[in-house]
This record gives sequence, C-alpha cells and structure tokens, in this order.
Amino acid sequence: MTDPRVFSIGMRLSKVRRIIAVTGWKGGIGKSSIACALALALAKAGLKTGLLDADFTGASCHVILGARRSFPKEIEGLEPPLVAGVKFMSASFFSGGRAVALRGEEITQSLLEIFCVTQWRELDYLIIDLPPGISDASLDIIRLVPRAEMLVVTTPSVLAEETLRRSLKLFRAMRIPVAGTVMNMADRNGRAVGDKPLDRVPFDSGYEKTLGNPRALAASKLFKAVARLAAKLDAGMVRN
Amino acid sequence: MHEWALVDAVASAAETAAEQEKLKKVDAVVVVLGELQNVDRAAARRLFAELRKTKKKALHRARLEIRAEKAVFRCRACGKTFGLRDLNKLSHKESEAVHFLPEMAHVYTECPACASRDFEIARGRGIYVREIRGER
Repeated sequence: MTDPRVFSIGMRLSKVRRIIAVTGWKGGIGKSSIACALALALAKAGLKTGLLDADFTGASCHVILGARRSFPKEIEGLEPPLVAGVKFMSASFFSGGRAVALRGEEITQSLLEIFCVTQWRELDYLIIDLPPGISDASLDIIRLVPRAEMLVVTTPSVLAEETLRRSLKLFRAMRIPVAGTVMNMADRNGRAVGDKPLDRVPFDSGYEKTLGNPRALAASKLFKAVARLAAKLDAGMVRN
Repeated sequence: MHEWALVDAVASAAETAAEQEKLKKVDAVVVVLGELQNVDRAAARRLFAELRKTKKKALHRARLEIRAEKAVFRCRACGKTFGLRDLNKLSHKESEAVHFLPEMAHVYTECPACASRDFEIARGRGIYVREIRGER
C-alpha cells in the first residue's frame, strides 16, 4: 500500500518561496501569537503570506485572527480563506469548536491530509504554527517539509531558556535550518541564550484585548516588535 | 472539487512508481477508497481521466480501478471493534468535515460501548494506492 499524499506535498508547496515554522518547547510562551502577528506583518508589508495552524489539538490561531466564520473553498482541493490578508488554514474549520482528541499517528494523518489538499498556490511566506515541544507535528514538518526554517520562541524564564538551548542543539545536530530566536514577553531581565542573537518582543498587557480583532492586533505593542522581526527576516538578517 | 487534490496525488504517485519500475506504459492504477472519507467514485474516475494527461506519457492511457474498503474502528479504551453503522448518524456538516479530514471522526463520534473518543481507525480511512500494473 502506498500513501499517495506524500507525493503531492512538493507540488503543493512548489510556489512557496519561504517556509517558517514557529516552534518553542514550552506551552504558553506565545508561539501562536507570534505566528499570527508575523503572518499579518508580512502580509501588511505586501508579501503574499499563508498561515497554517499545525497545532491540531490546541488550535488557537483562528481565535487570535477572529476567523471563526471563515471556511475554505473547494477548488482543486481546498483553497484557504483570506483572513486579514493572510491565507489561513486550520483544523478548526472542521472541528466546529469541539475538542480534538488525537494521538500521534492521527496527527500525522491529519497533517498529511492538510498538506495534500491545501492549495496555497503562489506565496512569499508560509508561516506554520507548531504545537509545543518536539513531537509528532514538529517531527512531521521536519520530515515532510525539510526546507522549513525554525523560528524558535522562548520567554525570560530559566525553564523556557533551558529548553531553547536543547532545541537549538538538536536542530544543529539534525541540520535543520533556524531562521532565528525570539524572546517573547521580554522584560529588562531577559538575557541572551548562548551565542544566539535574540529578538525581543515585549510583554504587552493590552494584547488580550486584541484577540479576535486583527486590526487591533496590528496596533499593539506586540505587533510592532514582530513587524520589526518580520522586516529583518525578509531581509535575511535573522538567519543563524 | 476537494477530490481533485487526492486524485492528483494518486496520479503523481503512479507516475513516480512507473519511473522507478521503468514502466513504459501503465495499464491500471488500483486504489483503495476508505468508507470513512466517502470519496465520490464517479468524480475520482473522471478526475483521473483528466489528470493522467498532465503526467508523463506512460500514464496517459492508464485506468483507475477502485476497491472499496469498509471503515473499521477499534476502541483503545475498551477494545470494542465497530463500524460506521454502529455510530450515531452524522449531520451533513459533520459528514463534510470528516470527508475533508477523516480524523474529525474523533470529534463527532465515539465508541458505542464506552463513549471513548480514543479509538483507532483500523481500516477504511482514506485513499491508498494498492497496485500499479503496466508494461516494461
């Protein structure tokens, strides 16, 4: 038995110039917020941008972007809806706001299906929001989309920094490209980790009020810092 | 149409297999269609007839043979094996969601014996290539 879907992934992504996977090995450090703000910032800069929420069991990009009423169109597969200028794909379109309880193999199957049927067409950037840690979805992205560059998120916490160190070491050993490292919720005590230059995104006490409203998000302190990061990424300055 | 992407993947898989096996001509591509995903057979045949022309010459006269496979689920909590008929009837919207992403069965259905959502889709999930027949 041959799974035909793996043969289509290269074709579906053939017109995508750059793929950035937003990762981080702790929960609650703002990966989805950074991923959404990054996609919005790139789109606002005039770049054709897509966003895939690959956190199937804990999807939240649709909440951040206020995309609850959007749905893909059936055109040679599924055409992601345009949300605030970003082509957006998420399993939340199909789960109807219910809990999604999946094990590893089921996450792999879901990811294969989404990659097979989603028609991103021509994009400058595809941003992928990964679940916390380095397990099924992250390993599948590394396997199926080897050119995806990791953008590693951390926070000013010894726990998050410790996992950041380990993740960077693993990515280096596995020769996985790293686009950069970002310290979210950064305060004055935020430190550099190892020899990696950290981009800082300040703690934004007003961020919660922007949820569901991309216009409000684009006016936030968080967005402004991420927009600077997006400009650096696009200029190739963050690549390690 | 959503089926387009799946059938295109089948044609690409057949094209790659033909190259690897050095087939000059592919006669038939045998696929298994899982009951859960509910792919439209007629649409799959029609799409394959169109899409084979976009692939390498060896595939241009290939036909699509379809084998149906019943969906079988196995509960990881209580061990019960069950089929689609044993489940609560899905609404049109829920069926569409499972059609697009079969793993959504875990969202809309449960084990009929113990109500667990932790079950395995043992058979009949989606589309697979079983065999490619051709001439060297």
